[in-house]
Amino acid sequence: MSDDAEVLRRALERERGARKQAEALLEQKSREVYLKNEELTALAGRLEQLVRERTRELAIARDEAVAASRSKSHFVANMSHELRTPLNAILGYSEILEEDALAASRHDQVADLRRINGAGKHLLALINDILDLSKIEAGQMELFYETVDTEQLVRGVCNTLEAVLEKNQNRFVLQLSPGLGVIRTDATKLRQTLFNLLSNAAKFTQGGVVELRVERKVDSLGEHVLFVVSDTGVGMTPAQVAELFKPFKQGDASTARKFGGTGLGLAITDRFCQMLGAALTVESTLGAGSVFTVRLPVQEQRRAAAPIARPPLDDEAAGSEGALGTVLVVDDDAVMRDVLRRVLESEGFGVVTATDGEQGIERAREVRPIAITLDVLMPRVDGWSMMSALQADAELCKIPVLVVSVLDQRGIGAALGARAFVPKPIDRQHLISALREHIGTAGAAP
Amino acid sequence: MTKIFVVEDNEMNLDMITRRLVRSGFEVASATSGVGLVERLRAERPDLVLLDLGLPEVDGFAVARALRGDLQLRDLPIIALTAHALTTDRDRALEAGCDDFTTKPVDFANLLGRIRALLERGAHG
Repeated sequence: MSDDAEVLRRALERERGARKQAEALLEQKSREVYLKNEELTALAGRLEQLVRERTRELAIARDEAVAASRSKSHFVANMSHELRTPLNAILGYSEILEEDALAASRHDQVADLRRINGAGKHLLALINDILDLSKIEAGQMELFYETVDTEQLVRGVCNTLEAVLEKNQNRFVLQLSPGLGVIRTDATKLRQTLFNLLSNAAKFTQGGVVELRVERKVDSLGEHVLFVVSDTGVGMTPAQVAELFKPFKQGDASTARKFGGTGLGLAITDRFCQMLGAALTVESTLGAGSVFTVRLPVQEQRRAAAPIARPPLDDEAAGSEGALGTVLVVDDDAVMRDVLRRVLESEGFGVVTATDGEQGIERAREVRPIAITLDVLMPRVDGWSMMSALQADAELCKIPVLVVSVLDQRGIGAALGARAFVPKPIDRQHLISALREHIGTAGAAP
Repeated sequence: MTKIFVVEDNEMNLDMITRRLVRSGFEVASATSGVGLVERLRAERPDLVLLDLGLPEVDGFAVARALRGDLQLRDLPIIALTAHALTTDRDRALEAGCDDFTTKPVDFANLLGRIRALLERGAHG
């Protein structure tokens, strides 16, 4: 019996010891939890403070960025005017001297004076192109719509090209389909587009054929005028084609030396086409020639003056169904909305649109899109403000946002929670792959 | 001899255009501002005016409108010279009563063509 009592007593002792240990452990753990909790509360407070500070900093950075962008384009406009005035004198006086030298049969001087003049003209072309490009990027390039006779416009462009076409002994072929009729467009920009494409074709073709074919067509995308510029010139590699519409990128470094030009012509042409609602495409084979096609919708694509006269583009704001889910496109530019809609729909996404940040938030709440493409510079509520509002909403903050902008502001975008930055003009592949990448991670947002 | 009146505030540009017009066989008179221009033109009676739009004090648009409102000068052909290749400037110049325009830096051969076309139109019209 005493043995039994002894066993019981020991068991009791062990249990008591174990319980004391457990109690001590519990007390220690509770203290740790309490301390951690204290720490967390302090952290949360600090975090809130940090977020408030960061938000304020970002608002300031955004205001500074907008102001800087504005003063940059102002500076470029002023500077190019200031540069042109002395250039005017250089060009004019070198021409006067050239006339003098010609009259005095000083042919050695004529050659040098022509070099000065040629360099001056190249500089002028550069300044003009940079001014154009900066205006486009700053959204200050305006469109002036007028109704023009297509054939008359095309013939006008061809007449001014004669000298350029003759220079390389090229044969020019103009093919006009009957019934081209009138189009409503910005004639100056369309003229410059055709002029740039044709003079490029003539420049990169030696003793070959440059052709312009114009026809009016109706297909599933509506009524279009097609301008097809083809040449039998040097052509391009696929790598060169890929870089073609980027500013200052010519075929390769030697191209500028060999063929001249500013390297901005096609970048501007491409942007003009976008502004006109037209699509510019290119096909090229190295050594065989290139074909540039401008597909210009007959209907005016730009926002109209009166809201009643708005093109059917915006009637589609109600949205389309897509097998892959719905993407919300927020952009104040009707042409951009249309471009993005077409690209996204052709990839199987449904699309709803909004014209500013405020509408964007509303639509995001209504439709819960799988992703949002967001323009930055918009009237009233801009892209950054919309980003902040999205991030502040427990549900909406999970929707991946792709910032689509002419301004490269990945920094601010990323800080505000944007998943990707897609530069304007839109590169279709870039947009789609960024979208695909980020819709996959939508649920797992941090 | 055909007389061309050049209005241009930049002295170097004025000198350049004047010399080239004289070489091309024109008689040239000029002013560097739009102030008092209507009286000058009434006295000089040129066949055509080359008008810089970016003049100080009275700008080229106002000068063109003044000429179009003047009984003696309202048919005087005007070619506007504009520094900015802006469509708005072009439209505003034509609206103000200019007959044609060319952008600076001036392509002289192109300018001569425009001058001759306008003078011819005046001679036939």
